[in-house]
Amino acid sequence: MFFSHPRRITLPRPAGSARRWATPAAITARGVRVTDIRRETDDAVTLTLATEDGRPLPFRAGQYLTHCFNIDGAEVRRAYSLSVAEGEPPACTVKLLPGGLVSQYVVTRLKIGARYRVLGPSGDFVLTPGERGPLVMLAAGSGITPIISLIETALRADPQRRVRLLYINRDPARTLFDARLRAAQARYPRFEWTPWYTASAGRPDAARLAELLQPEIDAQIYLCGPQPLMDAATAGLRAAGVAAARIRRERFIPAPRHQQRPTAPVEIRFLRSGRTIVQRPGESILEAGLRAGLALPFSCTVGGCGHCRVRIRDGEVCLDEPNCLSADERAAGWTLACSACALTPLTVDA
Amino acid sequence: MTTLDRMLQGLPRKAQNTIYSSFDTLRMMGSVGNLKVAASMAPSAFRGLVLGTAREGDAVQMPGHHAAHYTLTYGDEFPEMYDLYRRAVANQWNGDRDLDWSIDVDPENPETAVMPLDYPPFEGLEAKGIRLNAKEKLRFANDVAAWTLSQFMHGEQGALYAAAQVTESVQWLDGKFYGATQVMDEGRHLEVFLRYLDTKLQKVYTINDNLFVILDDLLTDGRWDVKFLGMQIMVEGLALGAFGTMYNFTREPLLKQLLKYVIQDEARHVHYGVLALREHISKALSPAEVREREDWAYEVALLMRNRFLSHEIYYEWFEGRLSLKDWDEIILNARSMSAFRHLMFMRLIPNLEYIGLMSERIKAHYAKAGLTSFLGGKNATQLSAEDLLRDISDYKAPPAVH
Ligand code: FES
Ligand SMILES: [Fe+2]
Ligand SMILES: [Fe+2]
Repeated sequence: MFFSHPRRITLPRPAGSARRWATPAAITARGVRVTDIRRETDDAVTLTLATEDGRPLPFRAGQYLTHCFNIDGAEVRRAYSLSVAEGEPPACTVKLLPGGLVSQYVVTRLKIGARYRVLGPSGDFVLTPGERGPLVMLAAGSGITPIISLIETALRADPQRRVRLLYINRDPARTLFDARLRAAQARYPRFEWTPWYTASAGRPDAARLAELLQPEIDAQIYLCGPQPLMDAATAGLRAAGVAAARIRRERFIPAPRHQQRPTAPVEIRFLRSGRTIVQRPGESILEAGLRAGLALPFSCTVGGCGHCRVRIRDGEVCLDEPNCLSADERAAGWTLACSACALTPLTVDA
Repeated sequence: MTTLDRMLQGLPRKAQNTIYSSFDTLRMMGSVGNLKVAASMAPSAFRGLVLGTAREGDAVQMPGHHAAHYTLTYGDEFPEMYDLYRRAVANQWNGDRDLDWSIDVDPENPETAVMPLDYPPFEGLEAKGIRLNAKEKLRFANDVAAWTLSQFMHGEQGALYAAAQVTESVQWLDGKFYGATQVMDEGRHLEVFLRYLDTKLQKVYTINDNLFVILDDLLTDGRWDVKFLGMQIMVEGLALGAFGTMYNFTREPLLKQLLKYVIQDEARHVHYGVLALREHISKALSPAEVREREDWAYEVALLMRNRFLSHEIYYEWFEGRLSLKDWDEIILNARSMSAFRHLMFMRLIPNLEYIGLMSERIKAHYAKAGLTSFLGGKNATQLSAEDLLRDISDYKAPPAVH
């Protein structure tokens, strides 16, 4: 008289309809709240952030976050470096740029408690794990933001490490993190800070830079500042016999200007997966690919890191400028999926 | 000790459970006092409880026995319904655009718990000798949340078909307009619950047998007003109680917003049901027919109160460690259950009263079940969606009874 049924408790849904709703984990920006705003100089602030979900946002010294602000109804994205040591609550420093819409907004309008989203952290301008040798740093202006994070992190891990910084500014009033640098000097006997002010001493040329930096034979060199300065420093160091592999540079890419994007759908063929996807009006190649579930690599989404680099086999794209692609890369047919969109039917090697 | 208890003693636990649940099926049918009601429900109960139709296969065919009412003259205005229709059109939301699906649901973060740990009946379980460690408690609470939301989703699927059927059968043109918006609403509810389960909780439970019985019964009953009563008053009332309970205790922001939208829609659905049925019951039914509807509503109300005991969770977690009977007792006394019952009947009883299914005769039965305290409360026509949400948030569940 008793029936017994196979008992099904949960429903198997292997990738069922979840697929179409899946947002690739990494492009999902995380919600953050501004918990503190610290005025560093007249024209720079540091924003301390807490994640909305309360979970940590692990980053490495020297990395940056892509900040997605909503300014007057439009989403704008900017990369700003983390300026605190590893393990501290994430904080990024933003310097007002002449005519910079977003930095203007951050420095003058953003309030404690504001909520927005961030992507990342991204960037390879980081310490090499296990490496114990001396560090030689060159920073100019707001190029100090990733550098201070590297310096503090390295010294906390090894207070005896030899670390030297050449920090170039127009004048002393522009110096960011003055107090933190002094504190490091007081605390770590082997940390050396050489300030340089262009208003009085002029711009150092390649040879002068090499002389000032004078890296030890086993030193790792980190450069962060305007492109011409880094080019000059690299040239000077190379001329002095420093191997290119020991020099790391963080390119500071000014905010890209958005190109006019096509208003009609365009087909993109991704060679590796063999899939053809329709790029919707306004979408980047990356957005179209991710929407269709392709596993495309990316990190900053604003043309700064090069992780989304793809090679074009056929067709034409428009690419937001400036970005991190070199002239050689361009000549070889590379583009940035995050900052480019197809203008004609496109075939990419991705 | 009852005869059943004595019979069960000394038997292996598995055999005990088989006997208990079979008797339970019989008891459920037996508890339906009205024979006619029992007879009308029997096929669904047989399919659902005895055959376990919902436990295998990919789909169940449910033959409908209703007629579509095709209007030839486009008369029959019902201004209040037309009003409701306009409101429904204006308040459509978009389940993709209006919810922040990028919110990451972390099952381990108590700050944003889908189901906070003070809700599952841990004390009840402990009283029966089952102790869960901190990790297990968290996992258990998440499973209970997934089970509950799965049942919401299954209910929404039923609501979608019932709304479509009712839209066919209803005689007022303005009711058909309105019904079309409800079909859209229920489709969207189904979509958002499925999406939430699939992408956030990543666990979907099968439909509960008793819920299946009620839905199967409604969808196959040919009488449009029974469908209407069942769906728009009873199941919607159940849904409001259950959604309200979840809305009250969840700390997960995406789910909270999702439920808020759904509750606002459901409030309209009940309002529509109440308008249509009051008109129909007072004008078109004979006293005998009214009596039968009254009995039917009463039986379904009790079923809804006593039968949603998450047996799926029992089988997943405690089969072999606890008897099904003890489990039922724990669940019936759980804090979340009393919150659910309160919120459900607070709305249901005044609505039944308003549509004319609360004669002195049936009141005596409700009194025996301890449900008359809700008489005289506000019915759906007197409540805005905001009132409803406020009443829900104001309700604080009493501590668990043991
Ligand atoms: S993702 Fe960083 S450049 Fe495209
Ligand atoms: Fe619904
Ligand atoms: Fe509904």
